Amino acid sequence: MLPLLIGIVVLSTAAMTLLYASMRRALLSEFDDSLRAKATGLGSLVTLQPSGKLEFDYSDENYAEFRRGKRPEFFQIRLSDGTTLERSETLKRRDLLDARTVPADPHPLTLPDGRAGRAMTAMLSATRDLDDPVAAANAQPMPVPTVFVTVARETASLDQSLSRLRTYLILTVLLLTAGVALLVPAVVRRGLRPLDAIADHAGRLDAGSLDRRFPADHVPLELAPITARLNDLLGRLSEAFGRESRFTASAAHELRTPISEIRAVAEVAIQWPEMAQSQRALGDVVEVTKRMETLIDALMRLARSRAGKTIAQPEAIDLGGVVGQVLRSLDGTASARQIKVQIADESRPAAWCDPMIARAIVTNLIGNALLHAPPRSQVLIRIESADEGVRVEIINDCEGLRREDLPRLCEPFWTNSSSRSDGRHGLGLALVAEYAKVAGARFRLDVCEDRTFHAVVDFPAGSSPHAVGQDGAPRREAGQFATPHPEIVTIGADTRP
Amino acid sequence: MRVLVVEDSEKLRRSVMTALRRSGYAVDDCADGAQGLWQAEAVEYDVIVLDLMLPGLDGLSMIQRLRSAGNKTHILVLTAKDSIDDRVRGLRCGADDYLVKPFALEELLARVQALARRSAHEKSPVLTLGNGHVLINTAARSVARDGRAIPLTAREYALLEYLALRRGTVVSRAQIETHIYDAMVEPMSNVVDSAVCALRRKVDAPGATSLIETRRGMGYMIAVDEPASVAAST
Repeated sequence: MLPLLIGIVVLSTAAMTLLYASMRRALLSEFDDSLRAKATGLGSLVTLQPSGKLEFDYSDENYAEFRRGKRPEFFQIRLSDGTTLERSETLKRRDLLDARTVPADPHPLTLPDGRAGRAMTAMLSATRDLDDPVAAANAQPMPVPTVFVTVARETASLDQSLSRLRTYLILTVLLLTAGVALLVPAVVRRGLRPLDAIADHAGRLDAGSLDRRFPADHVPLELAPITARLNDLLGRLSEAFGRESRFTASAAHELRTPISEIRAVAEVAIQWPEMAQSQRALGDVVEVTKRMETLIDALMRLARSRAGKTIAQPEAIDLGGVVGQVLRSLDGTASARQIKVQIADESRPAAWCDPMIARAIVTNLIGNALLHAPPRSQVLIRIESADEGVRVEIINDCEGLRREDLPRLCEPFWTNSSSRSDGRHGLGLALVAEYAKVAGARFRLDVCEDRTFHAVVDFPAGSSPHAVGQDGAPRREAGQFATPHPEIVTIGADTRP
Repeated sequence: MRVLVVEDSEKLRRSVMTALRRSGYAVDDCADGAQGLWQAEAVEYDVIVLDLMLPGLDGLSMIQRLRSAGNKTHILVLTAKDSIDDRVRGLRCGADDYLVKPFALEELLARVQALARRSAHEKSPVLTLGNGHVLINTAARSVARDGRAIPLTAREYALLEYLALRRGTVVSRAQIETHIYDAMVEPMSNVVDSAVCALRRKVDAPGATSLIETRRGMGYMIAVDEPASVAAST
């Protein structure tokens, strides 16, 4: 506030000073013009007679101010030799100025009666008297003499006007300053009220009240965009908090069942400690612990990937080889559920991806297909070129999965089964989605009308010596792509379902 | 008392069943909702311990179907869902109690016992029989005659408690078979008679009238105490 007041005082003082100077100059100029007009008028009364004599045709009636009075004015007409031709009655035979110094410009002076005044001297030529044409015709040519008409008048009224002006201007500065000091805080307070309301609202917000929004009604136009952006931010924060909260709740929920299993098994073993029971209980605890370890490992990987801490080291890889390795590792699952896997492996370039990430993606997708496909059904895996990349598509029959479920499939912990005892945690597709982002791959899911579930990943293509033949054309290397396995039927590139 | 445990986690189900059996309950089990519903409709259980997240048919749907069919068996929901909304939804669907995982087996047993008592319209955990001479503490699962503890096997205790909770009512052999013996046991025709005989030897005072009356052709019954003797015993 103080800097504002100082600024106002300085600026208004400067402005008023300029205004005063300008006004003073205008008033003086007007004053001087008036003096000049009077001097010129008086000068015009000086006439050169045909006889060569100068006459001053002056009438007191026309120039009453030069007679004695309360506020008399003065004039003195001199010739170029300094002799006085005429002077006003008010001068009483005194000189208005020293004859030797007759300044041309208007200047201040002390009037003969002691008052402050201002004088102005006009240098004029006397006019010839041509009233008598005969005399004028007979007149000898002679030079027209120059006369100096000095006029002076008191400046009290001018000084009073200037003094009044000064007073008004100073008062204006003071009033302006006082007005600013009084009004600005009130105006600023009033102007800041909506900001205060926003600040108050923001101060009351915490993690539990992110669903509350900044009031958008009666907000000044200038603040409306800020309020809208803050509300958008709150919306995003609320969504993120909600997602994290659901994630944490789901993680806790997923851990409840195995913890209850361990606790129940341990309590039974403690309360009824027969040897056989205890041994079995220990085996149960180990098994449940392994399941929890898998869950926690998946959670950690998901969290790491979401935090951007999964660093990809891409290289040219053969996805057919990766699929083969994954299938061999999932042999038990396929056999147990009597699921037949077909591979349609077409000629294609190598994919450009971190091998670990590619393996994690393929493992999760094939594992998912083997778990969710109905027993004794078939899972088809296609590996082919697509959109300047390499596509892996896994197709399996799906029961109970609807197109409406698609948006939620990649949410952590979502499964289409309410049971948690089958070892599924609903993290696989969430992990695949995160890993696909890291690998720069495109990942999509679809449920078709023929009740088949399609998981498609388009990996970027990379240069690979074994993917491209010497002639530049893509070639297949049987050893690389074949995945011989007792439970898996590998079919050629031409075979389509 | 016969309990049905519907829980898809095999290890948890096995532990709960062991705890219930060792506590004298006859226990049946199943791992999915559809089978659980079938079993709950087929057998008259005293209590059903039910997980909510089940394959086949979820627990809430199972409760709704049982209640809409008029089944009044007390249901204890056992689930990992711990939010207030989940609990309210479960109870409003018709569940009688709600226990969140992980839980203490002791608490589960206490809740099952409370529900079993409730099914017999008995609120007090202490039952007084034989004109105040025999006391059954259902909380401690102990029996005493004239202040002296009577050691009973879990099944003997279950039989005595079952009859005591229905004192004044004739309980048929079939009812006893249903509620005291689970599907794992194939009761022979004289299993109930033998169990009652063994129980009488332990509970009855020498020379006194048997606590458990035999109603020929109908079953067994424990008589209700006279009000005066109940007041004296308390």
